[in-house]
Amino acid sequence: MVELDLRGAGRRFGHRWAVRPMDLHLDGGAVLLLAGPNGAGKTTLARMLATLLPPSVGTVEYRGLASQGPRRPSAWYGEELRTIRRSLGYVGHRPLLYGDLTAWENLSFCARLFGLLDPQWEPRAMALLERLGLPLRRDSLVRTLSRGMQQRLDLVRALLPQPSVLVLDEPLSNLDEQGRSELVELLKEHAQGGGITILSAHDIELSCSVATAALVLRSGDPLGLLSPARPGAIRRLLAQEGSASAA
Amino acid sequence: MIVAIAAKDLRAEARSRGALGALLVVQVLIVLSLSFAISLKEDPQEREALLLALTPGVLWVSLMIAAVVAVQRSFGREVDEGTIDLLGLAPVDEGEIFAGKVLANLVLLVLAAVESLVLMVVFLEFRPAVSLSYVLVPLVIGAVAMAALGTVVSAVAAQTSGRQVVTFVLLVPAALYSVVLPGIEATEAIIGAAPAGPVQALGSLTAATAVYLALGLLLFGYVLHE
Repeated sequence: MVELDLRGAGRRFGHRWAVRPMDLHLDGGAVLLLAGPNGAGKTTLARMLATLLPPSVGTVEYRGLASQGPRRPSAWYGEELRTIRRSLGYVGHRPLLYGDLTAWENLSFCARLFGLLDPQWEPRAMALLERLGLPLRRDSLVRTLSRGMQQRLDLVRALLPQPSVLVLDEPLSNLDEQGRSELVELLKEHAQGGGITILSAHDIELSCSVATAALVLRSGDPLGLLSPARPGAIRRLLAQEGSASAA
Repeated sequence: MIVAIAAKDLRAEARSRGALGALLVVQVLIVLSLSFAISLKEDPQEREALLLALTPGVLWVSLMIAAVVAVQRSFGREVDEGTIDLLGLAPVDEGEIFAGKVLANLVLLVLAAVESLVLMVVFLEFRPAVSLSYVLVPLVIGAVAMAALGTVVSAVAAQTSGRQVVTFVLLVPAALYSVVLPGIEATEAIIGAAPAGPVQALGSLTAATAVYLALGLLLFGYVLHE
């Protein structure tokens, strides 16, 4: 079972802390909601957890990740980091897709990048495309797709390598009702399969329906873990922090 | 993986037609300018001598311009589209990403070199004493050097606000002295415009290529992640 540990991990840019040092432990099956106003540090924390930003202090540790694919001698950043990345799925503010390639070409490139073997990835990609309502657009250039469709395709891309850890930074923002419901179902299945999800979102109500814990951030400060069973308490805390910031 | 990265870049480039179209226009302009300059000479022998003297410079300046245009798009587009994070997250050796990018840039630069030669043959009736494939040899070696140097420069420049200026400032001086000058010497020697043989100049060109490839492999991981 995969586990995630932050030990005094924080990130600063120059003298300013984007995320203050924090400790956090997540077991397999956890869905952590990152909540907070704009500029609270959610994206920095998400990028840190996705290994895109190294922490300035402390460590981010993943345990229990199986090594997939061939092992080779490490180069600059080591085989250990590559093993973690094989098991990581990340969706950021902007889709990680090439506009001049078709949807299928993007998925094919991602499959090669993550060492997925032909033809095993193809049925999974088709199933995900169908699930997210994109089977008829597989041969469309990505730049011709709407923002919402690009977001759906980006989710397919992130889910394709069957990651144990999903880091989703505001994945709900461009999705319609049906897309949001489908994503929530996918996240529930991911959690039931023992995976960890870190979900940054502003839609507290919907996110709490799938989250197992909520971390509220304010100006890089973690204000503590709250239960998602009481989304009203999270919204009130965010409202208090918002009015305190405005004052 | 190397071929997959290169194929992805070339496919996207072919569909956007951005760099290829711009390169073709620039090369036609360069060759036409030379054509006007040469047509001012009335004596056919003088025209041929002038063509022989200017050809190496024109070929290598064209390649240099192609390198500046092609390499800044190599990582510039990844940053613009946000896909630089996809490469950053990829569980692959950074050396493979470097090699894939170099291969894509190399294909574009070799295409540009062939394009220049064809334009010179068509518009200027350039007929060297040796086969055109010999003329291509130093250009291809130089293209490898520029692709290797340019790929690292592109990765650095793409993360700055003045991408085009940074690419120009980092790439042009280094390429000019270590690649273009020995390249011109080698081409002059091959087409018979210089008395010396091409061996020494080709040696310098190959050494520069090896250095840039080795530096790229060593530095690329840091450039991509830091």
